Amino acid sequence: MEERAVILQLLRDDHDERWTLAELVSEIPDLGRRAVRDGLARLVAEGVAVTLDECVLASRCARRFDDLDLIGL
Amino acid sequence: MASRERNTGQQAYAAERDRILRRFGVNVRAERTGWGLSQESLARVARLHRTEISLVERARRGPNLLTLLILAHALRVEPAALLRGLPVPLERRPSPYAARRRTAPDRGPLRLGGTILYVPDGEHADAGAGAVGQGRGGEGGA
Repeated sequence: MEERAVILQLLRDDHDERWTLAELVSEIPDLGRRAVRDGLARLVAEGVAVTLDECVLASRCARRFDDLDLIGL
Repeated sequence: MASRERNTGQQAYAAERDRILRRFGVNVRAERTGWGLSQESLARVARLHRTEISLVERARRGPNLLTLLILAHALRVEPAALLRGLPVPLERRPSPYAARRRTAPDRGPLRLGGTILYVPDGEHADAGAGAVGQGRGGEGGA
């Protein structure tokens, strides 16, 4: 559930594509910082999200999947 | 001309898609509030995250079949109740939200052997090399 919640945030089109950990935690506060961080780490490890400086963003692959409307809930 | 027709078609598709998602969101919200459930409560019952309930109700995302069934079960209604009043789309296209987003940082042309597979928007392929895609994965043509 953590990974789903995090990637759905990263794919939002009403936010800059880059997110800080603090921003993610503030958007899904019920998960807590540790769960968000762990979910994010798994997404990055699998190439779904990438880090850039102090930020994280959805990978181009994930975005393209979403552009093709292949990501549903 | 062809581009304008394509844009018009995309806009019509986007509007239709938006109507479908909005109607579905309205149906879910109506059933949820009918039970006096908060989004958090429904998420807990359906074992989804509140964000997912919120995205569905705000018509930002559509559900897949399993989520539709899970939501219907959690709301104790037939799936058809959540599909009530939805228009039927005539075709499937890429997400209309795709164009709104900026792409992830580009790292220059993507090459496979001597062939350029992908050229990021705003860059030009090397002269003499065969580029098979441009911009967002080749939509711009070679």
